[in-house]
Amino acid sequence: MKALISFSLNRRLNNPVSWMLYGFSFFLFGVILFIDVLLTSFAPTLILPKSIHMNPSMFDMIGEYLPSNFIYQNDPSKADVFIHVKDDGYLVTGNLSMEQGQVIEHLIVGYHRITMIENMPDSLVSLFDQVMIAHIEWENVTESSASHSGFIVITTIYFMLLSFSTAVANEVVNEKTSNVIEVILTSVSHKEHYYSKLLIGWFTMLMQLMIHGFGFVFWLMVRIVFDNGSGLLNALYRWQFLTIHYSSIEEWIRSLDLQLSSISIVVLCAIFLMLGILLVQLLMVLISVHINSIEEAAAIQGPFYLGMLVIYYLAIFINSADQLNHGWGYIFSYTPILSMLFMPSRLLLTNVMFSELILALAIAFMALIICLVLGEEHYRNNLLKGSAKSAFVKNET
Amino acid sequence: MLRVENLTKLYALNSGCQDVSLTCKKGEIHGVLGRNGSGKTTLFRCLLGLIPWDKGSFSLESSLSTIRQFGYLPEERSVIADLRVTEMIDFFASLKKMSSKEVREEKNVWLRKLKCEQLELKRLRECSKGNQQKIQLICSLIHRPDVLILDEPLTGLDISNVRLFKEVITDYAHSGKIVLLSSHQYEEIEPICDSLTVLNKSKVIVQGKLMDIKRNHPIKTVSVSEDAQMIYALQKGVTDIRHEGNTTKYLCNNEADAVNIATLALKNRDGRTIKVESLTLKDLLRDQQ
Repeated sequence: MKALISFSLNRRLNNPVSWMLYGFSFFLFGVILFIDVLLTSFAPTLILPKSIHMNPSMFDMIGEYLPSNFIYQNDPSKADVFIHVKDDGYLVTGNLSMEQGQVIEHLIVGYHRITMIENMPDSLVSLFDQVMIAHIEWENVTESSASHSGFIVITTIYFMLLSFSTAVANEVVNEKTSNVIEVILTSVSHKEHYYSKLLIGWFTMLMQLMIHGFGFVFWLMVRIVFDNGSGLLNALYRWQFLTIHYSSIEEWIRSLDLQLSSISIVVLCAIFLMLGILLVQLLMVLISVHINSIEEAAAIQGPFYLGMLVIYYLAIFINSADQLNHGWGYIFSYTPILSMLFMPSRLLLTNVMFSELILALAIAFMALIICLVLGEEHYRNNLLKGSAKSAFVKNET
Repeated sequence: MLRVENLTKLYALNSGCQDVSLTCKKGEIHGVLGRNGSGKTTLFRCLLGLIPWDKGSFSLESSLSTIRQFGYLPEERSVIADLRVTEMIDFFASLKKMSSKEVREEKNVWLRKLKCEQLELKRLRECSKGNQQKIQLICSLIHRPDVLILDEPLTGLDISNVRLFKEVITDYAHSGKIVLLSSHQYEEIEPICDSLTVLNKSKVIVQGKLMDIKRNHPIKTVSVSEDAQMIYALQKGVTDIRHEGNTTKYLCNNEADAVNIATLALKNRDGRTIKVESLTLKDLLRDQQ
């Protein structure tokens, strides 16, 4: 089994296309992590803040609240955006996105309010405050970002599932169509071959994660040494990928508030993902033993992919706390295969009881074991069917 | 020694192999012959453990680990086309749990014996059919199995490669190994086979040492080339006539009659080729099947 696994891993990971991909991903991580530096050199308009002009008294009052994607410009002829004070209000000119427009509007309203208050008698000021400023506290308003995380998790799982399961299934098809399977099976048992195929898919995934992860960590380290990531974080804030401005990567990581509970959720999501990928990969391998030619592969695997696509859209559709706590989302979080998408979503969006978690894990694990055991016999009986000179095997009674 | 007893693997319509028994000693080349679908490949697959059999058993006296006892060259091309020759040999050797030192030594030996040292770094898709077959043969015997099973090893080879394969197979058997081989090229394997098992419709119909089988069939044949008119058909002692292209074969029940026909033919030779020989494997099997 060891020889089969190392041969297969070597073929998958050590070939010209893979090396090209590693080089490309390494280059891409470098570009992403130094995007601000590159843009400053090659396309400064994309990275530099918009210059804004307003009268000096207005700037004195609201200048400190200007977001970092705006910079005050004294000279009106050099400014991208102008704020003119008119008798009946304000005039803003310049190209602004909707979000930038909202920011400017917010600043102008603030400025207007302050100037109005300054001209009011004190008795009116306190009354005005009570009328105009409501005291609002925000607590546990995280569903929007959590449901975004849910979407990201679902999509990541789905594509990992498809790509790695397909690779393993195609390997079985290749071995069958090239008749190599017959020679391999004179050296290893059907059982070893079966389990090696499942392990190969997993090892490939882990190795690729490690290889690409190395590239990412390398550039991250370089970035930290370079400026502690402040330029990149600043750019991300300007482009509104971040809602809060951070001055260093360390500060950003600290802000994530990584606690044991959130780490446990990530680990549990990973466990459901692993169980799900193994199960889907297993099903793909079991389907692939029936494939006798490359042409058949698409015809047989196609409906399987469509089924997976339906599950994917279903998971996206039901990706809300309410749906996942009741009804179908709740049931699907215990259903083998579906649980790898729905349980991580539940974990991210809602509070899942420990007993529910154990039950879902047990069901997913049992389903995998049952399929493994039943699949082994199925694999043995069908692996050589359709290979060269097996016309008689097809008619087996 | 390889001993197979009543091995039976039947599929629908009674195809497969039924009650096959055979014994092969070390150093012996045993031909398993028969028409397409007579059960040869099924027999090989059972011996290799690729398919379960219904009945019977086989045993092999061997000092090797189970994984190394058999080597197999399937009838169909079984190569991973994008691999280099050396990588393919290394892979199959690693499946047989050979150490890298062993692989290196044996690989050099067999590449040299099969005259394909220059192919070592080529990809298999760049190799000719004959060369791919040579590489497959190396993969099947690099671990020096006690039993080498060759399913139609000579198919698709040119004359010089057929000769080379026959030499390698014979040398291998003479090194104290058992070779089981099937082929439809009876003329080619006849000189190298020591014993035979002929299958027809899943059952053994002829078995034994090739010499013994021939002795039990004392028919002599006289082959006369460019004799489409069957000039000697009415001569005394001719029991049957067969055509192979322009050559006519006169079958006689005894040697004296055959020699008479050959003497006559020699007198009128006129550039023709005249051969007197015992019944060939091909003729013999044509009678039996």
